[in-house]
Amino acid sequence: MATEKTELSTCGFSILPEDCVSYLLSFTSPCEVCRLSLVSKFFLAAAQTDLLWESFLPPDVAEILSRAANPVAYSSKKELYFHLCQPLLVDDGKRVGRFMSSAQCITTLNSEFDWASNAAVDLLFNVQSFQLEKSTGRKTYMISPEIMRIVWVETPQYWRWISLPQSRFIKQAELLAVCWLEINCSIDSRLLSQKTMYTAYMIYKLNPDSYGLDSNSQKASIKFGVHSQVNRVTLEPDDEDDEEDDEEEEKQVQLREDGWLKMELGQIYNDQGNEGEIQINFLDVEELHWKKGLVFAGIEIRPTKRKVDAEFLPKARISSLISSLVAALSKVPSVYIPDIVPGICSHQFLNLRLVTFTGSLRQQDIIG
Amino acid sequence: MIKLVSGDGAEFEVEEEVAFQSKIIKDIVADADDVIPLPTVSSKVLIQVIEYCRKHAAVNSFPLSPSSSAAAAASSSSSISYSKPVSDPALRAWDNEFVKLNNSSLFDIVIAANYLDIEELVDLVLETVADRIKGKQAQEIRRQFNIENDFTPEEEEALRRENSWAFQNN
Repeated sequence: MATEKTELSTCGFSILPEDCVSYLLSFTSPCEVCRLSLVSKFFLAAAQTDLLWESFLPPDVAEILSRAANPVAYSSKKELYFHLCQPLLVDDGKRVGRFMSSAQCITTLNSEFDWASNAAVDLLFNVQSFQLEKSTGRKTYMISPEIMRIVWVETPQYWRWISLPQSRFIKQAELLAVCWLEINCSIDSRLLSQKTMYTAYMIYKLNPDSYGLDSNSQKASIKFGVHSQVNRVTLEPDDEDDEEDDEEEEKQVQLREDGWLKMELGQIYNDQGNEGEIQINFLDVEELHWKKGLVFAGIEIRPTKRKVDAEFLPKARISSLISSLVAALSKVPSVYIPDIVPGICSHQFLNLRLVTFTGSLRQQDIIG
Repeated sequence: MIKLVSGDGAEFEVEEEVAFQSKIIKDIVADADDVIPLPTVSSKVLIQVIEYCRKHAAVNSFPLSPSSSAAAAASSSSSISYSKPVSDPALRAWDNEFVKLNNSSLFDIVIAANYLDIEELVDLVLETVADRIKGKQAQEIRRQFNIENDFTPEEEEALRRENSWAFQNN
């Protein structure tokens, strides 16, 4: 019996058909698969199959490709996957009855972009950008200002459209001067990955002569189904160089590698993708002083970064972490309590918050 | 009753609804008194598979009407079938106990389940094995499953470079 066991275990994976191992790998993630391809040639072969990579592609990939500005060429599903990890410009998807109200459409068409007169009336090209998050295959979208409702945008003395290099979309909206600064954006939750926590970011720059944009009365709101969240935000980056606190809470405004600023607007959890539209708004209307110098590139909605994966933490450890976190909450001044309490119900929320606090907790020696 | 005969000649009499957890058996059975030889399945594995089918037949017989099982069969015709989560918590707990086996036993079961086309069992076992390899380095997987590294050091280094992004967030 003992010898039989050893014999069987040496067979191991090699007794499984390649399809079976590909299917097994589909229960992991793209990131895991790329690491596991180093195990052996057999694993490498199973890690390349169309069967496997098709499972990592979004279910609506055919529709996404049909909306692409330029046709996507690929010779395997793996190649397609990695192609889609780069931004892909797509139309507004209105063909399938999504996204814009006709009023918004008319507003946009009346403004002065050259393509508008040529475009099909019900279809706006290159106004969304689609991308897969490489390690998980979850969907990220960026939405162009062209299909948002921006108050006063059609009035040339208040806003104008410009084209900057190194931008995702052709057009950016430059704020010349307004008192009432309001941006409304929406995205159909069906476009996003299910069972995923998303964070919305505003992508923008501030001109050197910008002013009036540092007020404390700016608000971001995100509404989705019955959920609604309002956050105080400020477009002006925090200039303090407190490098020692690097490990702690992420700054609300961050400088991206491509030179654009990104500011967190809020978070939502997309469960089944059947709760309709996600409404994302930015408002600076409480203090009606003049504001200028914002260059607005769009709003990005991407899966919330998880720094710790709960699957790799034993459950007992998680619950002990929760209790130490709860115990520590009152002692850590930087913690934003209203956010964390509901978060404990959801693993993803928890993961996200865990790391944020680990830095501060470590000093207090709460986690043994 | 349907009689299943394992590769080593052992005979097992099972109720129709237990045997019909296997789509293959369901398709080939013409007569209620059929004897079905399963030459590639050992009696040890067949006992485990029957145990699984018996449990699932008992639980599934209640909620599944003929029309809904036909719909389920139709929806699983695509090349990739995503595992349908087992919704009954008691059954899920039973499944979790069932797969507490060593890797080679799990491989034997998945081969039999694949051959007999018992989709839920294939998913259950493969997901279990996937959980055992998640988060591990190639070296650990090789040790755990007795897999020989058949790459040259240069090939391995090239692969590591090609996939370097996947090693960064750990």
